[in-house]
Amino acid sequence: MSMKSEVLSNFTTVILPATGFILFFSIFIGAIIWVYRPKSQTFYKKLAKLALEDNHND
Amino acid sequence: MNQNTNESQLETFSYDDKTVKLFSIATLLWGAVAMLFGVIAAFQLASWKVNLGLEWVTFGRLRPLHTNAAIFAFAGNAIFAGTYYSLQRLCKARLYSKTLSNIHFWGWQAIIVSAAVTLLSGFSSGKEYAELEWPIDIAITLVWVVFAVNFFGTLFKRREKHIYVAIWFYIATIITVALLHIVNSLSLPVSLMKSYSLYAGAQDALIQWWYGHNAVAFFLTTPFLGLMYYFLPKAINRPIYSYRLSIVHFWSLVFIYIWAGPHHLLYTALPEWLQTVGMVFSVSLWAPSWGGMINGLLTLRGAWDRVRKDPVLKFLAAAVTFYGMSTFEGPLLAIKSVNEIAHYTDWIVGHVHSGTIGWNYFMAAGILYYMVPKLWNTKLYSMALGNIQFWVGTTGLILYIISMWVAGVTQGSMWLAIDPSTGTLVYPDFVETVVRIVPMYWVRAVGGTLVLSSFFIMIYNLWQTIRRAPKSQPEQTFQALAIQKSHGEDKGHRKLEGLPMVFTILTTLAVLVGSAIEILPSFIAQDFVEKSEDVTPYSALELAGRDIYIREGCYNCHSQMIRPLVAERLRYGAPSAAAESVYDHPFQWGSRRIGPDLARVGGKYPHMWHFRHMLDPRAVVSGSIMPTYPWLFKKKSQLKILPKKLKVMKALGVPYSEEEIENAVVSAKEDAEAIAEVLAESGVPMSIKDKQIIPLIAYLQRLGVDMGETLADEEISEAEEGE
Repeated sequence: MSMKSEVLSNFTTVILPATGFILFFSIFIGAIIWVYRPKSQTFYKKLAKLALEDNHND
Repeated sequence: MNQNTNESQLETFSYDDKTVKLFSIATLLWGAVAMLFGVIAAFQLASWKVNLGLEWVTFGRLRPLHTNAAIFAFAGNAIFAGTYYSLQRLCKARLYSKTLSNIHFWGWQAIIVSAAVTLLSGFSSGKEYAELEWPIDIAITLVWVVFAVNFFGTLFKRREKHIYVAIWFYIATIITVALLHIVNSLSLPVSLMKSYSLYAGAQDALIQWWYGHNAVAFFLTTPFLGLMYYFLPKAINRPIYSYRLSIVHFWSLVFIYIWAGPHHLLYTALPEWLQTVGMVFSVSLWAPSWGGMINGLLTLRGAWDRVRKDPVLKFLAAAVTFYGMSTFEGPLLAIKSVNEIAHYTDWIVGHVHSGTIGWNYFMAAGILYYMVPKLWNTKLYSMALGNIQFWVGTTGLILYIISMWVAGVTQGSMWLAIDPSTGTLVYPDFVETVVRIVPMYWVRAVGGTLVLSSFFIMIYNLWQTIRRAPKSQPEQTFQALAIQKSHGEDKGHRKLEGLPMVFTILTTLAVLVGSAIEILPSFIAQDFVEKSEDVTPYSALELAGRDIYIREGCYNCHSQMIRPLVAERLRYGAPSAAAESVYDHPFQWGSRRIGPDLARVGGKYPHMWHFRHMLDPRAVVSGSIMPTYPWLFKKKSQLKILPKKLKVMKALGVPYSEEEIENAVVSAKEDAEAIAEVLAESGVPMSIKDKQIIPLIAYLQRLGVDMGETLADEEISEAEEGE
């Protein structure tokens, strides 16, 4: 028996990776929704300009 | 924003640009050195004579110096220069401490010099990109802490509340590089310049490539992405295309990258679940990597006419493009079926250089062309030279990449080719597959020379720029409001960006998740590696030989890992089992087959074959490109230290008895005499018995012997069961 099928057949705690996947994937989706909220647009525009306003005599 | 601040809150400050200047000059110096070593190594592969028969410049020692110099000396100094320049400006604050800046700069340069001296002298821990021995490892850790304190000190006294995205990438770099370096370098010292890795075999391989891959991720990628997010908008004078995308880019990259290490170990004896996890996360990396690339390229939209003229933008745009190309190629190579052909070949070498030259060198060039005229308060000496440099470098790089693609695919396919009518290898002699790609080695060497020449053009151009700068360089002063103490008005990610401590902890957590899930089972699970009673520790003489193998950097050209593929079974014997390297501190599985795999070379040839081979490889293998090793026949073996070596190995869990440790020297001498007697039959004088070639032969003759027969028998019985 190959190692993969051996490992898979002995692997009983499917709940662990499933929980991990759901947890991380929902954090990911949640973060995207949060970051792309329309309300925050002006704020991020301001942040993006931080790089440009640093050197006063440019 | 709170507008009712009064004049009294305005603070006057200036930037510490002297430190930035020092790091910029060091970047130029070490970049030339690193690339020069690379070009010499490239010519050594095209013609073995370029090794000159000198131990300290032979490929096995020069190649680690080239990689270490390119990563830590060239890219390292470029990161420090760019980070310190942008950090001060993004924080509207001077670097935290002049003393720390000085310790950081001079400490790092001292580390580079000691690395060059020790690597060429043969002091090596035998782990790729982490070859430096323990005292230098400790020095690296200390200087890195100095960098971190100086960095966070500046961050804490900043006058801009929000921490711009570039700084997040710097934070991730500082934290993760420290973690990787410390965990991977843990070892027990035998002497001042010799130590054995705390880990062995499959576990060492896992930790080494967790480190190795993330050295690429967190030393060559995240800091340069941070620099991209600062210097690209600055150079083009418009904000980054999407700040929101940069947030998603940052978190997904940091979270996913750390898992990808096992893709360096596909089809090896590493547990297969880890290989699969490594592959899946590597493929996932396509998304964040391309998210970052697209963000960079779209920032240039509508400004491509300026890219045509301005060397700064030209280099930055090309760098981002090469970043996109190599981060497309990386996940592709991490797919098992592609990896089957590409692993151990020059395709990987080409891939790495499209990243290090196309991304890191070109980013560094763009940044230097931007910074140097500003730092010295002058104008760039010649735009034309910058453009010439760009085209010479790009031409060289393309020659490099294409020759390595051709060499890699050619050699990989030749290794795997089986004649269907006879079921035998089409190219049974390994050297056939080497001779076939030597022309590509010449093309690569020419490409590398062009890249090096382009770098010299930049040095000349920037040197002329600095020479023409005004002699008096008064420090400019700026004014900004002090930071508001209260963060009460912000919520969510905005608040997070204002809290460096919390942000740092979250970043640490993001990289720890993948690290823990992949590495902890190797410490906890009893059956992580299936042990075998057939495998016993190396004899004292074999251990001495193994240290010579590591010293000469044999792992740079020879793997010790037979993959479970039909072609490899036919060429090398039974696939390697994890049990076979449980006493290997460090593991020597290797990553490249410039020469054949050595996992089962033990007993394959007589002692005399190895003797002649090390003296003149072409005497026994016509067309071989291996260097000669004449010093092994002149230098005496160092056996006195053996009891100490065995003792350290015992402390690491290798089951040597007290008796074996006590008698190490005597037994090694007896074994050496036995080998010398066999050689004497072919006319070699007995005085050879105390020379270094003897332990090396002893080690080579031991490789793969313990389990070779058992594994082959198992295969036969499995095949019979199948029938």
